[in-house]
Amino acid sequence: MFKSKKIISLVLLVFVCFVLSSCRNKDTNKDINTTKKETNVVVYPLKIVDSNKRTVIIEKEPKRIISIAPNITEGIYALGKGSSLVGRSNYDDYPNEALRVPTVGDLLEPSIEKIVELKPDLVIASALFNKDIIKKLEGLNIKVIVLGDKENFNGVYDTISKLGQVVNASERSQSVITRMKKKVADVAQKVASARKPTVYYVAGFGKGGDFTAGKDTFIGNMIEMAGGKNAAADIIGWKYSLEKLVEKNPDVLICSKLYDSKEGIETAVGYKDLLAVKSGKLFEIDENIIVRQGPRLADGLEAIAKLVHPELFK
Amino acid sequence: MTYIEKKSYYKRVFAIGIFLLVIVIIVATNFGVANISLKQTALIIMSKIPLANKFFPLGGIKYTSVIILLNLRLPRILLACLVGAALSVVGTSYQGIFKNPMADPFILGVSSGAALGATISMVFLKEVQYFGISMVAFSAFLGAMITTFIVYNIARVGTKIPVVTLLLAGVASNYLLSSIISLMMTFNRDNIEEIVMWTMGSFSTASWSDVILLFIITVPSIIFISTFSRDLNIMLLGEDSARSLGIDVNGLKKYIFVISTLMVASVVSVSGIIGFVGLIVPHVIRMIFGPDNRVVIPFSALGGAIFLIICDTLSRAILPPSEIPVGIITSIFGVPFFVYLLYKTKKKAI
Amino acid sequence: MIEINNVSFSYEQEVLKDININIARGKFYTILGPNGSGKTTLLRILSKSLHINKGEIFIDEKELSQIKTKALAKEMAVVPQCTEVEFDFSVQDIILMGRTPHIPRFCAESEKDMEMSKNAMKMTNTWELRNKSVNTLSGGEKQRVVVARAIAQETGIILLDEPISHLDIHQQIEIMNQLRKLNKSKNITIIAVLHDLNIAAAYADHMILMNDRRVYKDGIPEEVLTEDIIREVYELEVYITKNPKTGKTFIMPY
Repeated sequence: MFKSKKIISLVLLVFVCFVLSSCRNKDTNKDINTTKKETNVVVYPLKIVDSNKRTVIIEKEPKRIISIAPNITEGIYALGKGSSLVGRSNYDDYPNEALRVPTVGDLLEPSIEKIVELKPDLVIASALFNKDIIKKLEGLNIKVIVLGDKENFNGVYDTISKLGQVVNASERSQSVITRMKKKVADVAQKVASARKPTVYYVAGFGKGGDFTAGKDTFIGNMIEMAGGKNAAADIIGWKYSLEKLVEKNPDVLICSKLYDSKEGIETAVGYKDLLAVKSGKLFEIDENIIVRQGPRLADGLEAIAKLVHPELFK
Repeated sequence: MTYIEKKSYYKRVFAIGIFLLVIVIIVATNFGVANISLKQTALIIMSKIPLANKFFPLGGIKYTSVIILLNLRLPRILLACLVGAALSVVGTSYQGIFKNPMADPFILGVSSGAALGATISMVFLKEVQYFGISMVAFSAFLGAMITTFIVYNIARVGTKIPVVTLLLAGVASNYLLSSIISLMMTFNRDNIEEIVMWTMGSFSTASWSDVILLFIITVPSIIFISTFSRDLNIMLLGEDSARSLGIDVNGLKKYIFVISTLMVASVVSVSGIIGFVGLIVPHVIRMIFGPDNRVVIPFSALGGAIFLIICDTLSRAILPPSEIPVGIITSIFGVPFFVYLLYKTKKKAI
Repeated sequence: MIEINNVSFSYEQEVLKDININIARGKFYTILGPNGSGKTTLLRILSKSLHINKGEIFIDEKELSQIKTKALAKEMAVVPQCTEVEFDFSVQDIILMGRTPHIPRFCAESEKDMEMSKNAMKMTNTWELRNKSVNTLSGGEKQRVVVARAIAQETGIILLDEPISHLDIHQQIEIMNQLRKLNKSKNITIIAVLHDLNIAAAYADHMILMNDRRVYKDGIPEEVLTEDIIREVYELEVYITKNPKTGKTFIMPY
């Protein structure tokens, strides 16, 4: 009888050891920092390097997020985590559900009081965010992470990917990115062999001065990607001259839907004499989808391409 | 020598001045970011003169060059010409009525009233145009007229308009309205740039309808004021003396203020606030030709036109393709001169 | 021909009270009185610089308030006390301004205007100064210029407010003589506010003595300048005699 007890205890001991060791393995896995894009399961605590080159540790999946950037807000909803959003900036207006979320102020200097009141687990801000406010919030024990990268498609993919990790929607973020990449490739393929019309993007006109997207701007790049030739490729930055524009007399003009821009341009000195304006080739676009470095950027590219090459997108 | 004795001399110099103005207009029209040769410039201008255009065919000149010259450059240069003339004449007449060499066209609150009107329009109203006149310009005009009307009535005592009270009321309204504009800017951050650019004064969006409108208002007004040149001379003796010499002092003040306000309000609504022209030009003319308004008024109009065209051309020339708002250029020239004037008056007073 | 009936005027306090004066055409009047008695104000209501609160003023039976500014300027010229001009006009320009009431709006100065201004300058010894800037003149020269302007205005009445206060005695007598000449030869009515009682006595046909906002005494110099009156108004003891050469009243304080 003593011998059977010993055997049973031994088996039990081995069994317990086996269980314990597998648990230990899991713990070891947790300790490995998961910042690689390939893993689709987010493991917390998450150590992540944000756009301000700060290393932020996120203890667990954030359930109360304040987003102070329109592209981040759109990203959160695109990743299916809209229910975690408890605060947004005044400018975050897409999708419609976002409008029900309380606002905390503007992009650069939101109201700290409001933020604290909402008791967030995490505040996600854009690169424009005032660094002093970050310090203040962290001083109040509120975690802040800054996301926002180079202004181009790769930068957007990177941001969405990082966002996916932060909110525990890694798999979803990869599919969003894949969908965007596909759309971009589609556009590129469609316009590859088409003749390139000259395109001018009206960023500003009138008394404030004439502004457009220069060679090095991302809108300028998107024009090229959409199968157009940027009429303002002879400058870098945003400042242009009305005389140069009239001289160039571009084939297509694109302006924002907001502030009655189209009406204003149609009657503005110089612009109204342009061939494109006179022949109805002044098109409006929802500037939010081409300016916001978020999930709709590929749609923005497609929108530009549709205006530049309507015949290819029937 | 009196005015009569020198009249033919003045006529000759004025003719030279007009010639100079034409030259300045042509040179300014030739200048710009786009490359258009002098020959092309001359041809394009000639093509628009009714009878001469038969002799100057436009073959070979790009359509865009024609547009640039006729629709972009020429309107702004002509507008600068009219605005310069208007502001200088108003400056001259105000210096006479207020008997104050430091008076300028904006002292009665016109500038801040116009700026407030423009600001309200930019923040709350749609940017539309009626008959080529924008909502902003119209609001600016209304703002200017309403403000001056209020300032005028605050200062008025029965039919008399005490000049010192008028000045003070104008200064006070300038401060008050500027604060309101600043207040509006803090609540409408998006519009700040637009508002500031508007106030700085520029001819960059000058259109032919602006030119025509200003021509209709300015030219008759300047002619009207010049018919009162002698009266303005006598006002410099003091209001009592002027009255004893038969001048209807109150009537004169009323006419001059109404016409001047109309001119300045139109100018400001179309091209923003361009300072120092109305202050400097009359003084320069007086230094050359003496204080007789029968000479100073027409020559100020001419001098103001030439000065402002030059300033506008400089505003395009200094940092192409960017434009420096013309109000900044006139100030840069104006401030050192203003200081010199102050210094000279200070010396005289000792 | 100028009637001032029951006229009163106040700014915030009363400055003139119940003034009743009759001024006859072609006579030389002087207005005298201590400082603050209302002399300058009296001139200003006559020239319509100020509007009276009570009473009426008639010029040749026309009520002053009904006479238009330009019409009044053809009847009455004013030589003010202050002669500051901010801007650099020449002497001739200033005197030509006196011709304004006679020059129609769209016309320039005529030959006659030039002649009248020349005469006025010769009378006041300012012809040599004609091309000088008025700001470069001495106080005395400025006064003569302003008198010349009033003369050039060619009016039937000239009001003067202390016209000789900055002049030396030679210039004083010259101006007063000119005024008397105008008065006698052209029948121009002179109404001058003067400080110097003796000069006033030497030239005036008629004197108006003001005191404490009222007319104290109105009459010929002999009637107005008595020891008692001067003691009362000026609080001064004087000895009154006659100038042996002219026969005019002469006052000597002691």
